[in-house]
Amino acid sequence: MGKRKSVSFGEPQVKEFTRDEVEKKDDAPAKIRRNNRVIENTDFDFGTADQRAENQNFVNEKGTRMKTGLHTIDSDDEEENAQNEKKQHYKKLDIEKVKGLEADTFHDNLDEDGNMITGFNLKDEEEEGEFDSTGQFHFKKRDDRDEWLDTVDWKKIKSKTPDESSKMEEDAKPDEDEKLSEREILEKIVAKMNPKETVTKCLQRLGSGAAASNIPAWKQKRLDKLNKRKASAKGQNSSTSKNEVQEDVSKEEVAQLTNLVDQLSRRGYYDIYTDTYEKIKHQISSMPADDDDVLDMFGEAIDGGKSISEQATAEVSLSDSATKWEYKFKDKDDDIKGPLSTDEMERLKDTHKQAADIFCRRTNSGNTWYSIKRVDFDLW
Amino acid sequence: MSYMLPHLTNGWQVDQAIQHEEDKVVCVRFGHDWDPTCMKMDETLYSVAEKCRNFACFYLVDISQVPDFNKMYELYDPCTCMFFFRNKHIMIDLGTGNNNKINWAIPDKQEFVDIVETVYRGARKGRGLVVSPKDYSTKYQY
Repeated sequence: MGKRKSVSFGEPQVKEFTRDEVEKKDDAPAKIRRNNRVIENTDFDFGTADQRAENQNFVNEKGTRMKTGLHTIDSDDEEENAQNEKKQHYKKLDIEKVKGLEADTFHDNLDEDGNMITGFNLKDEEEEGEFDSTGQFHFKKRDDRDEWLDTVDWKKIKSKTPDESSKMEEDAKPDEDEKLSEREILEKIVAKMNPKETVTKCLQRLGSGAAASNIPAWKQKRLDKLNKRKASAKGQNSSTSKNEVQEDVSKEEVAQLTNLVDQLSRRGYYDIYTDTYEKIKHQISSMPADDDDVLDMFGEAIDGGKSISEQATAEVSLSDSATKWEYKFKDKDDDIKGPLSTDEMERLKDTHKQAADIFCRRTNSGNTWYSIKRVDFDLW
Repeated sequence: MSYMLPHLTNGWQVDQAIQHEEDKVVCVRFGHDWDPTCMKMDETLYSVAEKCRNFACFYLVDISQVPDFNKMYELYDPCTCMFFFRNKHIMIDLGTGNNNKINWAIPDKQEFVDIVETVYRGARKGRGLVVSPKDYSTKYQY
């Protein structure tokens, strides 16, 4: 770093004002300097005194000063705003008077090096609206025209809607009529399978239709072609039709099987595809008998509206192997209630207002009690 | 009681243990056998290991011997317990703010069994995050 040059401004210049000069200066209005050009008051146009008073002393229908219409929080209704909007009268800014604007000297807005440069002017802004003499920018009103929208026939659409909406609802509802129990679904799946087969292999077997044999696909194709030629030569169609019938049957089987498997996976049983015939059979045998479903707590339609306590006792007597819960209000209580089943605990959790106060534990699981809020009964 | 539980002595063994267990939750304690916190935790783990034999298995890893996982799992505490199921890390909402691990010693056996059982049931249902039945947000008692 070189030595700094010392700059001298000379001695400070003190100008002594006389009393008259100081007083004179107070009367004249202060002048703003910008770019060394003094800006006069006449350059601005804030409207006449009446116009300004109109704005400042504004009172709306309710008697408050809140403005309604466009550019307010309440101005969401576009139609209303279009009606209420008055044409604004403002004095347009004379662009020529604005200094510092430059013409577009570059073609395509690219300079010598190929960089994109916009000219230092207001041409782009002028396309979208105009400035008024106070400097405020007013956007031009655009016609929101959409060519496609013009071609839409609104009368036709109105007549369609009631039918279409009902169709959509039908599609949305999955086959609720086919609510089979898990056991029944598994039994149906097993009926289609062969021993020592997984569900995937079974689907492959059924999917391939007639070609369940060990002939590779390319060979099968050639054989088919040969058979076809022979059949056409003899004027017969019987062999091909047999194959077609077989294919249709297996297609239906595949559809049924996929439907069943899909129902299971929807219930959360994701491993079904890799389960073998033996495994599913084992599962069926270990599942409770179907009679249980009739006495299920939610089977009110079948039972004809039993009371909850009756249903509860019925369920308790049947399923002794299910997890039982005990609960008490407040940790220090000795009054232990229960045992209840997992479903009842879930309902207790939902309905009870002060769920935080209830503590629960599984029956015979030691002395630790847990807040009912943190226990996820879904897992049991 | 850490001499009664199986130790994993290198990174490959840890990987194999976590990946090849298909039906059980794998609980790995990262720490040191001589650390007091780990000793308390190992005591709990050992007494619980027999009860949970059917759905969980427990391993001990010395983080000085096997430093491979220190950065990955942010093993900066004296004792860290993490749970895995079918090669997937299972998170537990303990209320402490850190859902990835248990980084203190749980002395109560029943509590720990309940946590492991919740992890097992949740993981079997495909959950990546389970809620611990006990809230440990007030673990630090001043």
